[in-house]
Amino acid sequence: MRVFAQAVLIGPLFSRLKERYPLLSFILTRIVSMIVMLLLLGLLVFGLMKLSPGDMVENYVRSQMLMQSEFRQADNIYTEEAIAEAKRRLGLDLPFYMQYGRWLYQVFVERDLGQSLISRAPILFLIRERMVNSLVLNLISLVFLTVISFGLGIYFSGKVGTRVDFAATFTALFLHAFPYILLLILLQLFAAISGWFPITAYPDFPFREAPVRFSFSYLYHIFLPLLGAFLSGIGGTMRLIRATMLDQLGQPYITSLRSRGIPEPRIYLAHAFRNTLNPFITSSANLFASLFSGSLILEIIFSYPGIGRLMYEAVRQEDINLVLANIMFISFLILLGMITADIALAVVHPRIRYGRK
Amino acid sequence: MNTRIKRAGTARARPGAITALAFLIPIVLLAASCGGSGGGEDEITLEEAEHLKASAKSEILSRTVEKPGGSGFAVGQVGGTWVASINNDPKTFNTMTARDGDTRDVVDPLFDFLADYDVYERAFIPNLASFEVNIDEEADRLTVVYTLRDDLYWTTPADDPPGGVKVTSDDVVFWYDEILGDRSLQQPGYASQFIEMPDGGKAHIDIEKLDERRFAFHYPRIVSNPILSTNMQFGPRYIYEPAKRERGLEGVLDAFSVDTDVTTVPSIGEFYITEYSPGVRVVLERNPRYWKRDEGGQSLPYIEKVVYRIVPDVNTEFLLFKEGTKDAYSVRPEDLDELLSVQNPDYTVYNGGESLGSAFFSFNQNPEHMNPVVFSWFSRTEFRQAMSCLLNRPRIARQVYRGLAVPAHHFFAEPNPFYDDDIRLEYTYDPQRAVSLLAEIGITPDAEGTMTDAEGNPIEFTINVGAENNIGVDICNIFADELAQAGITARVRPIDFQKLVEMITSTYEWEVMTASLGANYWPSSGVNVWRSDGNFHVWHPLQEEPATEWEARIDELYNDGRFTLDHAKAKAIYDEYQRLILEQLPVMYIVHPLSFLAVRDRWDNVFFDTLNGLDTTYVFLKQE
Repeated sequence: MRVFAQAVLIGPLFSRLKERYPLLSFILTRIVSMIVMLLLLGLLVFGLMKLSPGDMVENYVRSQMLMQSEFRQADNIYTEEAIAEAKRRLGLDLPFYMQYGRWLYQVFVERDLGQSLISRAPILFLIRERMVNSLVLNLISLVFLTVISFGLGIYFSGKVGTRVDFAATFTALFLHAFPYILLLILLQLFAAISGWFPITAYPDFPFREAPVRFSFSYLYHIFLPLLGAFLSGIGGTMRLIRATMLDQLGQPYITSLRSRGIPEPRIYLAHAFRNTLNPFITSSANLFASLFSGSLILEIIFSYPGIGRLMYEAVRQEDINLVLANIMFISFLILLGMITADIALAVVHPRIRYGRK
Repeated sequence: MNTRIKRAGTARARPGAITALAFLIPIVLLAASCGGSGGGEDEITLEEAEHLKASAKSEILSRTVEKPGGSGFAVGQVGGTWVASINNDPKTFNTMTARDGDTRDVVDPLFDFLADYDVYERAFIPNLASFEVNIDEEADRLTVVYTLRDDLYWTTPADDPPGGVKVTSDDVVFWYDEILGDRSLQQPGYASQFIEMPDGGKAHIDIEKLDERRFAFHYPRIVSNPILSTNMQFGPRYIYEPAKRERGLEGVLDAFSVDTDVTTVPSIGEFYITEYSPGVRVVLERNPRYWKRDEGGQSLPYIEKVVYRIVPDVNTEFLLFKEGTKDAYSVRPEDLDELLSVQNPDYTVYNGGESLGSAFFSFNQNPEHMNPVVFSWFSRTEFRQAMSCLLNRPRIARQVYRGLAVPAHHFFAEPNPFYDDDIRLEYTYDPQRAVSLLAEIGITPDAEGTMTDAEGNPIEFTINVGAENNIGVDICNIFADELAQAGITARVRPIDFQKLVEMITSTYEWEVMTASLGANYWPSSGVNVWRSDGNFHVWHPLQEEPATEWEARIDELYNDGRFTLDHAKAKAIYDEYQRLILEQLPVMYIVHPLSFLAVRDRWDNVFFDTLNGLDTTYVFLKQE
């Protein structure tokens, strides 16, 4: 009854807010939807992990039984009771939605991400540095891709129908279709054979040992992985910009501008380019998400200490606490990227924030 | 005019260059990656191929170095950084909970064993403690008295507490009783604290503190190898005892998790952990207070620092070695040629000889969860002997390992004190004999050459192998090919390794499988495999009572051998034990591959063999 009353009160309040502060209400709606999405995602992950056969305790017991040269039926230290007790201690005996509820309570009420079930180390310790590493790598990739694909897209839109355009389109398609994993492996082999680049993507000493040397070494180490991400992403992004530019350049308002004698560079940059921003902002958010998803392969091949590698290990070992924390952080960052894109769109294009109006 | 032509030419060249670039990037990468391997080859006959393989083998071996260890270590100097790699982050720095190989690589150098085993002399020698075995034959009792060295301290890189904590008998007694002996902590050493009595019951091996440096293990009956079952590593009591007292089970399990400040982790061994960067590296630095010294009185080890880089992919490890940033690399068969073909390398590839262990095939003899028809074949000794006669070990050695392996014809590994070269497999590759053996149990070829049993069922089964084990899959395919030539259909099924483990340990739903076991190094090792009540008695685990007469006899011989002190009597027991297994063939060993290790030439005192591996304690940096 109280919930109903609250809903009745919040409804008109929100309508008033939407009328007076449309942008703010738009942002609030997006944030609320992000939280709901994260909660549902967590529940789904928990459910999927539960569907896989066995659990962490069973897998652990099985591996220990194989390792123990003295293990026999008569001196079984892994009795059914001991296994049940271990599951109870870790909360693995509960239905998945209750485990998820407990996890949410622990994270949001007790403000504790908990321990890894395998290593018993605090989750925060395990993911902190790796999350930063992944974020830095993906943001650098995003910036490079954005700037260069914008430049190339605009440039080649002015060369439409020429051989240059044909070659550029062909190259873009080729790179877009080239398997990412193969590209990374080839780049690593190239590094190994040429000796020009390191074969791992991270310096072999920590930042605190020599910050300046580390920074230069880091840039040197990430060059090839960045090139891989760049080559694999540039095709799609450049083609998007080029197509949007061509679309804009064919619009009547461009013809009108040209007929008024406005210089071509101004038409490109001040008018057509501005209107390519909408699809580009949306695609940037998707690009960021795909970079995060693809970084797992990159992190394994190039031994980069990022979150993808950690999550891969956690999923394999069914370390549910670590998997959940990883998924939540990655999803949060991706959703944050998408919401930032939505907000940027709403700022650039006020019509978007008014929805059906 | 000239200018125009030139410009036009340039204009044409630009899109061409871009188009070429599209092709060039992958082609350059592919070409670079292929490393300029040779072009096509003319077809050759089978004989020529065999001859080429033989000459390739001797050519390969001539470029490796044999330098087995044991003695002759030169006196070295302290210094240098040894770069190694592990595939995963360490899970903990707690020796009690460290189980996986990567974690043990990092944690083991902090600890040491009470006694050491000289693999060349085949005898235990004092290490952290000297020992004395007292036998009372009348009372059928045995006591092992250990005396700890007087110069042992738990110390940390942060020197906290200053000067360290002296190691006493209390450390060992606490560890044995409260950690290994606490059933709820599920330690692997728990079961070893009990031995079977002549009446079939079990009795505990007790530990007693005699004084600050001496402690004794009291055996309730005489055993043949008491040092083996009491030799152990132990942790610092001054940390684990309060942790257990205050927080019980959780207290000791939580000790030294990976977020611990590594400079507070105590060591009694060769190294300290001085840095852990998650996902990047673990750094160990030598413990200057380690007790072991060289002939010149210099404390060991010589290596100043060990850096374990965390590299998840084995191929990347290989590239790191080739790049020069890794000091040693355990060479896979497929990498050998590449490493040996480098001109003027800065490393040497050492040939350690035949590996002690071997992969094996096993035929399921567990009546539960099995097709009764298939079970009726597999449970016949003659059938398994026939299968062994169809297992072409020399072909596997030639084709899979390019001749760098030898057929596995013995049960005990060579360093086993009861190894006897004359006790060898009788059922080696002989298809004709296989046909005769099968005929003895009513399995004969039909008109089309397909082997069928007396009821007319065609002989066919599935061989399960770990999917990631490429060599294992190749071996299975060769076995299947040999079986096909004899009219038997074998389907090779590569499956996920975890699934394979689950099949062996839980579901038992498999027909034939291949896997590897550790070497039969000690006659009494592998109780969980060879005794019928063992959980890894692969072909029919956890039996309440031995299912067959020969398994009952193996149980009996195994027990007798464990409690027989007299070497001659023990040898008679173990001779029969080996012969019985090689006759009944519950597992069929395949081949022993040769073992190779590549080590950078900047290191001296490098000795390598499969008995002892590479002993890095004595390795030192060459002086320029």
